[in-house]
Amino acid sequence: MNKVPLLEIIDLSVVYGRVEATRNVSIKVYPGEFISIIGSNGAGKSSTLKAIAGVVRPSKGSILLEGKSVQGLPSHEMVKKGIVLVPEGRYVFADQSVEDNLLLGGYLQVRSIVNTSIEEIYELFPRLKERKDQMAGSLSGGEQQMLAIARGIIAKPKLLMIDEVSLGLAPKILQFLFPVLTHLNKSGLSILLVEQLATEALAITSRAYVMEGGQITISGSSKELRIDPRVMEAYLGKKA
Amino acid sequence: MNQRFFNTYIFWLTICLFLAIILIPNIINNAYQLRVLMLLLIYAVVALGLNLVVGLAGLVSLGQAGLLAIGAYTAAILATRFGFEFIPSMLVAMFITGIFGVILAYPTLRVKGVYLAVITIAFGIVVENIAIEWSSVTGGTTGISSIPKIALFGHSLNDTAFYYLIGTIFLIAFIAHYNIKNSRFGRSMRAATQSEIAVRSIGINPITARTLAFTLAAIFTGVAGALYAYLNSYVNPDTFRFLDSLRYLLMVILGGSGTVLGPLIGASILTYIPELFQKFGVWQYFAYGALLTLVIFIMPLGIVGTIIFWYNKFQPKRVCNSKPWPTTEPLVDALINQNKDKNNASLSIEKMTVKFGGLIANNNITEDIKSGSIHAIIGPNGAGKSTFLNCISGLYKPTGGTIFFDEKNIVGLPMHSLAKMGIARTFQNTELFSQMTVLENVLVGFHTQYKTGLIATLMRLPSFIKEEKEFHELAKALLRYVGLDEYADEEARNLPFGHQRRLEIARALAISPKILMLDEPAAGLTHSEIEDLKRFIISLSDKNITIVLVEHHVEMIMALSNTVTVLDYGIVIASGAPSQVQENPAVIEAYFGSPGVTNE
Repeated sequence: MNKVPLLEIIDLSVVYGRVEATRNVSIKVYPGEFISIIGSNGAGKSSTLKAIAGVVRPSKGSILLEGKSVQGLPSHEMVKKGIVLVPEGRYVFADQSVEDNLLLGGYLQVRSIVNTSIEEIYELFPRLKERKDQMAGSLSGGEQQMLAIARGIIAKPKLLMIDEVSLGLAPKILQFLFPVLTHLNKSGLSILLVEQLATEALAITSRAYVMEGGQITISGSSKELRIDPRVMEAYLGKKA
Repeated sequence: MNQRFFNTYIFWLTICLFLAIILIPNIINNAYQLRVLMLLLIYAVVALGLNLVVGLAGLVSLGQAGLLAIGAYTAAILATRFGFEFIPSMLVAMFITGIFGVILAYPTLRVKGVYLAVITIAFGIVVENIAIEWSSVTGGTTGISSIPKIALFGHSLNDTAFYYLIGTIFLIAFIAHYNIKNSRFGRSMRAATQSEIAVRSIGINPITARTLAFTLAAIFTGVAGALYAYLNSYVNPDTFRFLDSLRYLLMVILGGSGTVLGPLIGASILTYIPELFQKFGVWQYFAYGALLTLVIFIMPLGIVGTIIFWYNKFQPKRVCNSKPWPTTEPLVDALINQNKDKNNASLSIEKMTVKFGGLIANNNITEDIKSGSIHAIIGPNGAGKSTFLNCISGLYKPTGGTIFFDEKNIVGLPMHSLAKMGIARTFQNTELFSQMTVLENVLVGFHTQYKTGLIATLMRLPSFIKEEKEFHELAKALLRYVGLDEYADEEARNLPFGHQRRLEIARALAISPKILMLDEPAAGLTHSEIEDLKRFIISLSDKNITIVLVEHHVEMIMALSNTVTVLDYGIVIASGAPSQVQENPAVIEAYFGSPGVTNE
C-alpha cells in the first residue's frame, strides 16, 4: 500500500502529571482499513486515541490527516476534519432523548442529510428506534453503546475511533455489535478500534498493533498476530 | 509531593513566618503601618478558616462577614457590659460562632454549589440586619464603642504587645489549619467533595465532614472577630457587609484555595493593594478590579496553587509500572483478619422489590448469599444487577422486602452505616477521589478506624503521629498487595482505568470488610490480567471474605463462583451451581445467546 495514509501518527508521547502514558507511538491507518490496538491496562491505548482526537494534548509527536498536520487542534475541530471518537464509558447525553443524542451527533451536518442518516441508523440498530423518545440515561449498557457508536457515525467521519466496545457488555450484545462494526467497515468506513477482547478484535480487523508499557511492541496483520506466540500467550489465553 | 519533603517544607515555612512576625515591627516603626499589619493577620485567620470550607470541603460560603460580626459583637458585649477580659470573651465568641457554624452547615444536607452560596449570603444579610435593628443589645447603626484596651491577666497591652498576641494567634491558627488539612479529617473533607457515594461506601458520612469544615471555619472566624473588636475598640455594622464576605472568599481564591500558604498571601494582597492604590484617587477601584481580574485569569488556581502546578509540571516524568498481584502481605492479612467473626457474613434477601416510577428494576427477589462464598450475579444489560447491588449496599432503599445481614434487617440503613458493619463495594464506573493521591485514597478508607480525636489532631500530639504512621504503613501494604505501590504519590485520575479498579478494591479492603461486592471488576481487562484478578479474588475468599461478583466474563464466573444467580427483567430466572446454570435453557436464551462468539 503506497497510498497516502488516512491517518498517520509519528512518535506520539502523552504525559499525565508525572506518569508517561505513551512513548514514541507511530501508527498508520489507510483509507477503508479496520485496525485494532490491543494491549493490557495502562499500556497507553486509550491515551493514544484521546491524543488523536484532541482530547488530551500530546507532549511530543505529530498527527497527520491525509498527509496534512492536524497537530494541536481541539477536539471539536478534529470532528470537523473527520476524526470522531466513541469514548470509553460511552458518555451519552443521559438527560436527553435517544433521538436528540443522534441529532447532536449530526450537529455539523445539514439537517436533511442527518434525517436520512438517522433512518439508516435505525435500520442498523432497531433497538434505538424502539426507544427513540426515551432518555439515553435509561437505556441499558448495550443500548448506550449502540447509541454512542450511532452518534459517532452520524457525524460522517473519515475515521471512527472506538474505545472499548465490549466494556461491561453481556455476551449476547457483543454477538450483535461486532458484526455491525464489520458491516460498517465493509460499507466504506475506516475504523480504529481499541479493544481488550483480543480474540474478537483480531477476528474482525485486518491489521493490529499491540501496545505494552506505552509503546508499540508488535504489529502486523491480524491473521499473523493470531498465531504469534507472544500474542497468544499474553492476550489470547492460549498456549503457543 | 512525598510526605517527608512536604513536612520539612512546612517546618521551615513556619519558622520563616515566626521570624517575619518577630522582625517586621523593627522595620516599620509607625503606628499606622503596624495597625494595617495587625488587620492583615486577623483577616488571614478568617481566610485560613474559610479555606477549610472552600479548599477542602469544596463548598462556597459568602457569609463569613456574618460570622465575624457574631464573634466581634460577642466579644464587644462581654467586654463592655460584663467586664470580661480578652481571653474569656474570645473563648465565648469561639463557642457561639461555632454553634452558628453548625447551623450554617445544616443546609448542605440538601443544597450545594450556587444554592448554598445564596443561603450563606442570606445568612450574612440577616446577621447584618439584626446588628442594625436589635439596638438594645448591639447599639444599632452606631454600634458598640469604648471597648476597653486589651488586657491579659490584668496587664493591659501596648500596641506592640497586642501585635505579638495577634501574631501568636495567627501562627497557632496556621499550624492548626495545616494539621487539619493533613489528617484524616482534612482527607475526608476533600474526599467528600470528589465522590459523595464513595465516602459513604467506606463508612464516612459526608454531612459530618462538611459540618466539621463549617464549624472549624466559624471558630477561626470567632477568634478573628474578638481580636477585631479589641483592635478597633468599637464595632458597628458597616464592616460586616456582603462585600466583606466576598473579600474573604477572594482572599482564599486569589491566594490559592486548598493550599497552606494561599490564605495568608491572599489576605496580604487584598489588605495592602487598596492601601497602595489610594494615590490613584477615583481610579483606585478600577485599578484594583483590573488587577484581580488579571491575576485570576492568568492564575486560575490562585497564586500558590499555580506555583505548585508549575513546580509539579517540571518534575521528572517516569513510567510507573504496575507489579504482579496479589502478593503476600502480613500487614494486610492482619487487617483483614480483624473481623474474626466472618462466619456471620451472610446476606439473606427476601422478596425484595425495587420500583423506579413505573419500572420494576428488581421484582420479588429471594436469594441467600452464604457466608464465605463467592456468589456471582449475571444477566443481560439492564436486567437489574446494579440495582440489586445498590440495594444490598444501602445506596438504594428497596420498595419492599427485607435484607438480613448477620441476622439484622438492614433495609433503610444508610450506606455509611452498612460500610461500618462490614459491607464494602466497588463501582461499575469507579468512584475514586480523583484529585487525591493513590495513597490518600486508601488512607481515606481507614477513616473510621482512627482512634485519635480532633484535639489530638489539631495539636499534632504524638498519639496522632504514631497512628498516622501506622496507617501509612498499612496503606502502603495494601498498595503492594494490589501491585500499585509505585503509583503511591500519583493522583488517582492519572492512573489507567484498570489500575483505578484495583485501587478501588484496595480502598474497599481498608475498611476490613466481611462482604466485598465487586461490580464488573474484569471489565476492560485482558486475558492475563483476568487471570491475576481471579487469583486475587481467590486469595480474598481464602481470607474468609464473602464475595458478591457482578460480571460478564463467563469463563471467570464459572471458574470462581460457588453460586450463580441469573437476573433477567428484574426476576431471578436461575440460581445454583455454575454448571447447572450454564446448561439452563432460559439462561442460554436470555444471556449467552447462540454458541460461537463468547466473551473469552
